[in-house]
Amino acid sequence: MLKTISILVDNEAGVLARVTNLFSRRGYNIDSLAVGTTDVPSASRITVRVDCDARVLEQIIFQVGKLVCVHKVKVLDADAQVSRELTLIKVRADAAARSEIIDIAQVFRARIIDLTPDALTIELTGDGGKTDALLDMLRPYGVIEMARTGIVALDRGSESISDSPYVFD
Amino acid sequence: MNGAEFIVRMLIKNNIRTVFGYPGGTVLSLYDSLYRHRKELDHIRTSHEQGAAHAADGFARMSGKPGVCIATSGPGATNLITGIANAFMDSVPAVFITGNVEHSLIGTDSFQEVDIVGMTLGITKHSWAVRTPELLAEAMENAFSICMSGRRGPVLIDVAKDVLEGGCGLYDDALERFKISEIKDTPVPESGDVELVTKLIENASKPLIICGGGAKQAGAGPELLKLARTAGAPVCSTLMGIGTLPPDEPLNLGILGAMARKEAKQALCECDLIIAAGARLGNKVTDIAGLKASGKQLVQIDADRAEINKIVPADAYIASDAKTALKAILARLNGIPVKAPWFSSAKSVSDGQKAPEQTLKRGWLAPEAVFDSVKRAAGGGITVVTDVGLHQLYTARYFPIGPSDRFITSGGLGTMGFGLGASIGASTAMPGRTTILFTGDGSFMMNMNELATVASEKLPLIIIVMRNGALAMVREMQKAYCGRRYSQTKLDQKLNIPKLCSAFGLKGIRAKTPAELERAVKDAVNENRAAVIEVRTVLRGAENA
Repeated sequence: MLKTISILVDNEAGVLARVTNLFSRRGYNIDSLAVGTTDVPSASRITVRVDCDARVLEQIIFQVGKLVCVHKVKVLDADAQVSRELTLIKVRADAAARSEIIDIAQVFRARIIDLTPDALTIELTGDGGKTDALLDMLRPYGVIEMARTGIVALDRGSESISDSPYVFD
Repeated sequence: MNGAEFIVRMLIKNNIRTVFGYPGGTVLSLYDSLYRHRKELDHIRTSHEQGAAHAADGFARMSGKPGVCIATSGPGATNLITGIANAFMDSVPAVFITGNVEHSLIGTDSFQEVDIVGMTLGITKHSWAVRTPELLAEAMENAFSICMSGRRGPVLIDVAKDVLEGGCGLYDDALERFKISEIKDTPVPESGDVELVTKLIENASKPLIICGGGAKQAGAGPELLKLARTAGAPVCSTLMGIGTLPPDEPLNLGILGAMARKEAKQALCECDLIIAAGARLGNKVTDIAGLKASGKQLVQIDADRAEINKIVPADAYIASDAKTALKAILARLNGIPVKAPWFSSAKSVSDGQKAPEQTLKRGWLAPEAVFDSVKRAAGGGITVVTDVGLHQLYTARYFPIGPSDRFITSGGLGTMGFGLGASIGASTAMPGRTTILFTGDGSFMMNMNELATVASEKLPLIIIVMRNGALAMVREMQKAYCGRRYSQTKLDQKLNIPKLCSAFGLKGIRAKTPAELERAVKDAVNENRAAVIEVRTVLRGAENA
């Protein structure tokens, strides 16, 4: 089962290495990973999506929680979270194919953010599944390259990860 | 006061009086400060950084305080790695300090530069790649409390050479304001958890306790014994838990694992509830998944919440140190009728000393005879250290560790060559105590360079080399799994240990009879000097042990 875990960490050099080292050392499979700063300058938030069972998930929470640089760990509720991933896809597009591709992009509410005589770049925001669907549609035209940010997610409602029961200070 | 001077003064402020290490280019300034403070802070230089790391480990196990170990950059740092991993696996508190190249050179593959912080990420509780004075202050302020808090373990502080040499004027405040911080202990037991655990214990008809290093470290022996007697539960021990219960206690069935006595194996097989107290149920101790699958219930007591449910789901648990948890259980069990033990062992652990009747070649001793002689000569209140191999398991099984004795071994990492460094550290921590190292010919050869440290520090170590001309534990595996093809496990029998020891300036003796061994140990104890005693020992495989 895919689980989204939010981890609040010190915004310092080497912290990401500590977290990913733990995942690789203990054999937890990372499906998606995104890191960024937060509203608090001293804290970063790591969003990691993992494919695991309930026991491994518990292990991840407590093993990650032992790291000194980790302040909070929270498993987001699968049914009550908002999650987004940003994807950039560069597609081969000559004059003949261009309008077709733009039509496809519009269906997916994606934006064209760069255009050259033989290629265009599409920006798509979605929850992962949508990205794969768009990619399938674009493949026949020739995908030149692409980049994905990894999923970022928050719980719905007014609560913050700071209210999480998993406190490791 | 530069960074180096700050480190040394912070060590002194943390009540550290002994450090281990080896000097080098990037830690010149640190050794300069150590020289300046040599009256307040003793430094023991080993032959090799690995020896220093194991010495810091042994020192910590003996003193209950963090061991401190210093090494230079590059090979100095990488030589520590086995020692750091060993401390990590056995939850030993230690502060490792390494120098690194100037921060402007970092990342350029400069001379003796390695990313020691990156290399040790998975074997430290925490580490600092110190490239600024601010971070050095933060690291030194927190290192000791982190390594001692909750489940203990090693930390690493890697300091760039220019930070050690600079920062004058920047550390005064940090030094001034530093107070030894309170150790953040593990959480108090949740009452719901205690209730569930107690209920399982009350309802079990055949409970069994596995006593681990966590119980020993927490000093939970009295509580453990009380629970065992109240619940009528026999107690088995991991290597790390040895010494928690007295060897003459009838409920103490001794160690688990390959060398377990048949009573211990039988009790484990017949029990219906396993209470793991500070034991992480490693694969060398027991097949906990198999036992669970056969219908036994499991209660876990551990200071580290991540150990709960790690291998198999527990039926109930208390996430707290063993002493606190057991006290909470006993408080709840108070008043219930004491149950008679469901399992009784004809012989206690300390009765297992008789060597089996067998004809040995002249000059060869049975291990039981070795332990018997050493025990009689050394008496009580001793520290027993082992290396790793078959001799280790024999010592664990047969040497009776009494309430006034201490037992130090490499449990989790199984580090051959751990023993000599560790016993140097243990002996340094309590100089008045007799420290005895049991080692094998394989382990001894791995780090015998530290005999030079034993000689230069005039440590009264008694080193028993149980020689059998083989890497016997591996040999046993080859016998079982490789059709008796003994690949590379035969050791050269020509090595002359007495001559080797005399080259190091130590007394080396070859004891051919139990009486000779006893005399040699007695002489060394009486004269308060080191002795390396070689005994030819027949170490039978586990199935015949």
